[in-house]
Amino acid sequence: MKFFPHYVISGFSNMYLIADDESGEAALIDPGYFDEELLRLIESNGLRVTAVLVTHAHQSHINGIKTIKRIYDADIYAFRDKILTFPALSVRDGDRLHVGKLEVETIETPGHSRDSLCYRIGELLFTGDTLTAGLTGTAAHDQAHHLLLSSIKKRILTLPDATLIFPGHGPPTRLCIERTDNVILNERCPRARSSSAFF
Amino acid sequence: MIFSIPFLCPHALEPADDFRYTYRMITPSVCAAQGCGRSAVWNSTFCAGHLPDPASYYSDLKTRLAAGDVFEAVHLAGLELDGFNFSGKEFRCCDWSGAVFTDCSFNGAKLHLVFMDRGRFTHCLFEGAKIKWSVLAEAEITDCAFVNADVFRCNLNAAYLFNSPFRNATLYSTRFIGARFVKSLFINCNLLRTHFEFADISDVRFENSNTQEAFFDRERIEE
Repeated sequence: MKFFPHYVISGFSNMYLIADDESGEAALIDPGYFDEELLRLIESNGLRVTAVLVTHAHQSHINGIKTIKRIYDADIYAFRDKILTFPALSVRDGDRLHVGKLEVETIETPGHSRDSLCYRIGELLFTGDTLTAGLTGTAAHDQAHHLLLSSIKKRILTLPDATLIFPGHGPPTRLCIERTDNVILNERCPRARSSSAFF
Repeated sequence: MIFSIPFLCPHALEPADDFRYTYRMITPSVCAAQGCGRSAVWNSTFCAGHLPDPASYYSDLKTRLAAGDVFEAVHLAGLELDGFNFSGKEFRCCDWSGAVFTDCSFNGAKLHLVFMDRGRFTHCLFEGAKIKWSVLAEAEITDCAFVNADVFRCNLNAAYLFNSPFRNATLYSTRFIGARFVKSLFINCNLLRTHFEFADISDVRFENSNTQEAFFDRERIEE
């Protein structure tokens, strides 16, 4: 599998390119931005974007879709059936989709937002804003925070320790590290307020 | 919302061409020793603890590292590396978790997506090193020096740093959440969007570094 993390300065967010070596099919995860340089990277590697995976529809994670759709005929996968003005293929917990021969598992993790998803590809887990290194995502209110923690504990912490986590903001991490050192999961810190809507 | 524009941070404006090709994410295979379950190390089917001939392996490893400049999926988890020279070399998508580095030089090295969680670094040099998208969470870093180093989007959460100064270093978007610092210095450093929440910074001296642009508590809205 080919893999490329990219920092999107406009939203201080991460987007990821994953690609199947054999078929050249690629997916972009949380494309907060898309520019000529990324296009050059994709094309120079002989890849073509066939899928966009959206962890949640906050602006800093989807703004690049408009440009992507002008260039590639890519399917958008998300919890919602519409992202920006584009129809999306609505996915739910446990759904499996394919990017070439890469199998992507969808995990519902509401809390940071109602539509939050994580995507798991082998040992890699793309968590959006649900879980980041040392912290969790923000939540709009107490109930959302409890839902977020419940999502993480039931759907993420049950995965293997060696799982590599690539969040929507900040550096990567490993699940065993978050299990012991995440300050929110280990209740060393109250939740931070969120400026984003839950719904 | 108005975002500060990180003019001081070259990484944010770094062109994608800096990465000559996309990385090949290869996770380590499992040690062939029955019931082990640990990651096998580079060029072996065994983990660090089950190498049939460790002396020969380390000797061969030194030779192989000396012979190349760019390495991908070079997994060194759990190994004990004494006096190895990684200077000027580039490593991508590597698992070095739990490895012990003593008197090693990483001067001018490029480490991208290198997982060094729970590693131990003693008397190591990182002058001019570029460490990006890497993990040093729970690492013990003792008597090391990060001079003119770029540490971008890295995870040093819960790390322990003893007498390991950062001078003229860029630490843009790096996290030291819950880290513990003893005899630590940040001099002339770029701390834009650097996270220090819940870190023990009682023995840290910040000089001429933009601490007002770092995060020390969670009252500010997250990025």
